[in-house]
Amino acid sequence: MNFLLLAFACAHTPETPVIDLSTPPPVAKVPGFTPPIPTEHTLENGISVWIIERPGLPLVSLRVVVPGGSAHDGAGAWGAASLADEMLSQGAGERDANEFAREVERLALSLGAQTTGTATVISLDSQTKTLTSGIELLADMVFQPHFDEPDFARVRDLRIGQLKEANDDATTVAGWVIDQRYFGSDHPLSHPVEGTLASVQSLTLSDVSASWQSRLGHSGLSIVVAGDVKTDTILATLEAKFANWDGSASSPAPAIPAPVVQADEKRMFFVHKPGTSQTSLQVMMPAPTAIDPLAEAAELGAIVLGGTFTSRLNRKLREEKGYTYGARARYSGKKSYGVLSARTNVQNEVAAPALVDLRALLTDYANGIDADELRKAQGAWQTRSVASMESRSSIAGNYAALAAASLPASTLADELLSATRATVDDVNTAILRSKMEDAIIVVAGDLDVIRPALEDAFPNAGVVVEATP
Amino acid sequence: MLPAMLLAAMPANAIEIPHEQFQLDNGLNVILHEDHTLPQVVVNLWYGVGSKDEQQGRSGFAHLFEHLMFMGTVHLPGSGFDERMEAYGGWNNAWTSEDATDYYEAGPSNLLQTFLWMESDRMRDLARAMTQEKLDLQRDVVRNERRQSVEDTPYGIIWEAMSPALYPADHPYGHTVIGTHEDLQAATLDDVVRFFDTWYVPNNASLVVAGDFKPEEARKWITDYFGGLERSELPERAAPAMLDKPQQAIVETTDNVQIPLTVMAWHTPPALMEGDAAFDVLAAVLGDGRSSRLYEDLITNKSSALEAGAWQYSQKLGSIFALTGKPTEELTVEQLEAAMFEHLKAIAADGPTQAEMDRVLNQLEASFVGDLEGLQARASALNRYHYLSGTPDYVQQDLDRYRNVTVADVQAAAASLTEDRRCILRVRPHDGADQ
Repeated sequence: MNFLLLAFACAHTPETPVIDLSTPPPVAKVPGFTPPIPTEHTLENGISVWIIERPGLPLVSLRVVVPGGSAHDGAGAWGAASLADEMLSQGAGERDANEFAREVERLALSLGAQTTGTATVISLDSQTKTLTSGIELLADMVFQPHFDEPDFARVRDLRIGQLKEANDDATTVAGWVIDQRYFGSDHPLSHPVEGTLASVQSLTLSDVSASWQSRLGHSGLSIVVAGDVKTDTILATLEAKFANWDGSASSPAPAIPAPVVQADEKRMFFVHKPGTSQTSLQVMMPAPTAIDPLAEAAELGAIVLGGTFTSRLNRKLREEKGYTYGARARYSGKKSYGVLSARTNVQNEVAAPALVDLRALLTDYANGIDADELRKAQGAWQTRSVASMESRSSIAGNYAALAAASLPASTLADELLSATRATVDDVNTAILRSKMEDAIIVVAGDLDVIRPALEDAFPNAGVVVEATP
Repeated sequence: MLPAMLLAAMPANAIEIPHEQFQLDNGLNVILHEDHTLPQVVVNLWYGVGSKDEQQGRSGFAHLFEHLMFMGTVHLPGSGFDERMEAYGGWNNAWTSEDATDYYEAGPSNLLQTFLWMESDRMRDLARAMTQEKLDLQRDVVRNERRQSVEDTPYGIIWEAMSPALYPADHPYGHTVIGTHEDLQAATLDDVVRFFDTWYVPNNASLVVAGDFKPEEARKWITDYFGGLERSELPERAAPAMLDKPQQAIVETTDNVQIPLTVMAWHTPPALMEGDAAFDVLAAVLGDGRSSRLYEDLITNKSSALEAGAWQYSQKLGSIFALTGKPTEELTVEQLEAAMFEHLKAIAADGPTQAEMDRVLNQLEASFVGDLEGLQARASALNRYHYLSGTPDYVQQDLDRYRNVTVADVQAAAASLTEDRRCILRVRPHDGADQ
């Protein structure tokens, strides 16, 4: 008897629940939200400044956007912009590399430069009390970087080590190859931002120094500030610290051309990465540009396809088939082009059927989405918008991305409104811009293991290419 | 109340995460943290069970079970948990460590009641709806996670190689969280039901609600949804004896990499316990940032290393302090180990400088404020503090632990890391070359 009582006590289901738990509770109306829009200012030399005052915590995030990222790298000089940006903090102003690092870390600043395909973003995250000192150090990076030879040799050697390490990762290698194949070898975004082993080894100090000076001469330099600041005070500080920039001599960064879809060529590429237990599958196809009226619809479609846990790709490849730990798709829009990309890593034994399923899902995507899927994507968009306005660094980073893309400060709010109003027809029209026949597919894995099944599934479809671009 | 407003009203350098705490009769711990800055809410449900609680031959089970928690219940079958949440803009995830398993949901504030209903529903009913098919499917997913994060990630094998060298086979930390393929394959449906009945009970859980909500409403929903769950006697978990030395002094292994890596590790005091903070400060002095001793000397000045760092991995039953590095072509891994160890000995002999102590404390204070900016981070911190210290009201004490660390403390910490107590792991390229 005692044993039975004990057994009931351990059970999770009491005989009489205190309330009916069999049905989900109702969901109230979603609270409205509009992202804060920064105030816009212009320094005397033409630098654009966006400011969002966010008092409360004594934290400030500041981003300086310099147009022209790795797309600025000349032929054979891949990685020049990225290495130059890395050099900005290796000695600047009156401090050598060690002294600069000591001062940044003594003040507990986060200060560094990140290179993208189309811009460099110099990031400063500081406490309010160290903001002025942080801006002084940042200005030294921008206007007085040392570019000393020993520092360059060290930074280049470190980059070579990082590239060797990255070359051991099938997912990274697949990403390099698909950029090269999708954009085409002559396109300024076809190469890795970090460069390649060969290109980095051939770079000289004068190459990277020239890269920085050239990009600093582009018009469109802009600054974003979010956090515990007063607009008048921060503007006065920026006016003083960025007075060295000569806006009158600047010229626009070269425009990024749209990639050209190559007709009549094989569009599936195999990369051999021996010894891997998983295969990386990556796909890229065209999509509307960021300034196309269907841009938001394209992004909503991508969320349905692979932007959440219950998206079509993850549901099929992970939750139904168990092929992968995860499958994702995303839309990326720039002024001159848009891309829909999908990727997953699957176990080698199922690489071929997984690719068959992935292609089928992407082909079926052209048939469009339904109203439930649209509502889910709109909810995900709004939640993401709210979360992106939570921290000062996230706010600054999001608006810096807009500035880098030469999009207006109201874009985040406009896009959210547009996404909220988008219809199923809008999304399905946008989806038709992403055609499977225009897709590039890259398969990176141990070809000794996966190739026979792939060739059975896709006879004569693939081309084996070198692992390192 | 805004946490930021409260911060501003507090004495200089003081921090707090405002909250109220109560317990249901069944032992469920509840922590409410209001923040109406944005129309969002976070639910964080922390279970006091991790891989340390797995049985022999079932490594990886706690994490596999975490996956099964998303496979549906009687009332919300199939993928209903994720489907319903995402239908209204919510999202969720979870993680498993050696010590705990943490589930969290985030989304618009109108979803709070739904989040609470879902979490109570699966705490009540998950085992009733479990099937062999669900277990097999998530076993495949977890094995793929293992392939992706351990087998195909460069140096992903580090923990797998180090755990048996640091701990006895029967120690709670003697295996990895991800587990082995063999043990994952061995898991049965009976294991799932037993694990659920044993550990997924209200008196082994702590619930944080954070964000834009009304406390009286949240209290009612929590009581309604979780109040009917029965507490259950938790198994005795005898804390293992503190370890002083590793099981093995040197481990040599290979990986699909081009650059060798070395890890030198020691057993150190448990998280939040006496001495833990001093090892954190020591790690920062040695290896945090470009002005740390290892980076400045071995990377910037001598170009001897591609990476050189230090860390203290704080855990409930005992922590690990480690020095890690990758040599350039100028050095062998053994030479790099010697060079890194010299820096440790220098601190043992002379202690850190006051400038180094000031730098580390400044960075810690900044990171405490910065880390608590996000709602999810605050929710997780409240549960973490409750689990490790017995109270969620610990953020100020946590920061004070570091403020109270002295030069002598750091010096003593370094002096305790002797050669006879260390375990060295060397990962070399498969081809056997040093470079």
